[in-house]
Order: sequence, then structure tokens, then C-alpha cells
Amino acid sequence: MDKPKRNIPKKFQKSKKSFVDRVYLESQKSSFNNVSAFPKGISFYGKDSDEDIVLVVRAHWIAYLPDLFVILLVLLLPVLLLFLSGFYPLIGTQVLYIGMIILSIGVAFTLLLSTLLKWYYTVNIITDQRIVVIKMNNAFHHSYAETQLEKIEDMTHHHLGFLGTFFDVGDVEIDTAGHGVDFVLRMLPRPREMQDILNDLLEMKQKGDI
Amino acid sequence: MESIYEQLFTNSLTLSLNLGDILKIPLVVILLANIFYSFMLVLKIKVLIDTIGTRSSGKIKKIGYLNLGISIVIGILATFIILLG
Repeated sequence: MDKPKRNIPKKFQKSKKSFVDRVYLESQKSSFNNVSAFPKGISFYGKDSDEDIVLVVRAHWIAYLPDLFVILLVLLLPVLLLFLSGFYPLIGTQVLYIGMIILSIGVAFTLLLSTLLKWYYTVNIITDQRIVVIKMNNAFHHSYAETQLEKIEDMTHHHLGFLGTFFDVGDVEIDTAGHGVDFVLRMLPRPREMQDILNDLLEMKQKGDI
Repeated sequence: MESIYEQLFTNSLTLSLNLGDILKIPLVVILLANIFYSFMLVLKIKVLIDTIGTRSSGKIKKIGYLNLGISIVIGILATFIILLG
């Protein structure tokens, strides 16, 4: 089988081959392009010119199941009401519910775009210098947080209930200097591998390999 | 004469309640909210494109504007149908 073309930055060409292989393996295993290894053409606010992106990780698709369920409900409810209006005239005319179906298509399209944007712009970027966590909640709120790799003290991962175990999804908590858990990388696919890659990256940083 | 007199004072008031009429106002509010949310999404896309730059940024911006357009067209169409209904 042909290996995909690799874009390994200069800094990592001299580093342990196993690390680079593992990063690429994670990228290949991911569904819906959730994990990208050494991606080209991605930049973020405040990125230094000599900074290389190692991994870009997005949440697993099951994180968006509730949103998809709501969209389905928005589409089905007017159809159900249209069907019922044929039997019970008290709930309104059928013309009204045809209008409601058209409206629900518009609302569903907006909700679908909102969910798509949430998936696309809720992203964890791991570089050779820092971790950047960007989160979009809705059209009114998003957040941007970052920490330098040197400041990371401790990392923990845990699976999330039945679905987490079924799909191998979990959170990675990153503790930096100070009180409590500071960063939570939510709903990541294969969280233990992510934690392992981060640990190796920290080790390489501490040794001065990168 | 007596029959007219009877009709006037016997069936004077019938209370009718139609759920459809009550639904019209909230539906139009949802419609306006949808257009407003689509507009906010376009603004949010602009901010997020500045935060994370990717190769697909241009496409996402276009999809945002397309959604706003669809919301407005559907909004106008649905308003007429709902008010007629």
C-alpha cells in the first residue's frame, strides 16, 4: 500500500521516527478528517513564523449528535402537525402547516450550518511550542485559549460513559501551573493516544530536540 | 317575526378557538429569529476566519452568505403562506 505524502517540518525530521509515524497513524485512523498530522495551509492568530503545527484535532462526530437530533426534530414536527391537521381542524389549516414546513427547512439549514461551523471551528491545535484550544459554541460565542508546552505539569484522560467507551472517545485534561485543571480537550477520538503524543512532544521539548 | 326574535336571543354567542391562528405570531417571530441568527453566523464566520486561517475559509464564507440568502427568501415565502393559512 502506498504511503500518503508526508510534510514533515525540518525540526521533526531529526526527531524519533516512531513519534512522527505515530502522529501520522493517528491522522490515518481518524474518520471525517478529525485529526490532521503536520497540516499545511492552516494558520491561527498569533502563530510565530518558525512555529510548526504538529496536530490539528477536532471533536468526534458523536459530540454533535444532540444537535443533529434537534435538526431532525425541527424537520419532522411540522410534517407530523400537517398530517394531524387533516384529522383535527381545530389545530389549524393545512396551508399554515405547509408554510411551517418551508420555515422548518430554513431553520434546519441554519442549524445544520451552525453545527458544521461548530465542528469545523472547535479545534485543538498542537504545535511545537503550545496548545491552542478554539471553541465555537454558537453564533454569539466562541473562545480562544492557549498555553505554552513548558507550562504543562500534568495530563489526564478519561472516557465518557457508554458512548465514549463504544466509540473510543474521551476528554484530555491538561493541568498547568496553578489551581485545578486549566485545559480540557473535549470529546477527542482515542484520547490515550492523544495524551501519549502530547507526552512525547513535551519530552522532546524538554530535551531540546525541537 | 317571532322566529327572528328567537334567533337573535338564543344563538347569540359561540366561542371558537383555532390553534392555527395562535401559532401564526410565534412562527413569524421564529422566522425573524432565523434571519437574525443567519446574519450573526456570517459575522461569526468573519471573526473565526481571522482566528484560524484554512484553505476552506473562502468556501465557508460563501456558504454563510448562501445560508443568509436562503433564510431571507424562505422567510418571505413562509410569511406569505403562514399569514394566508
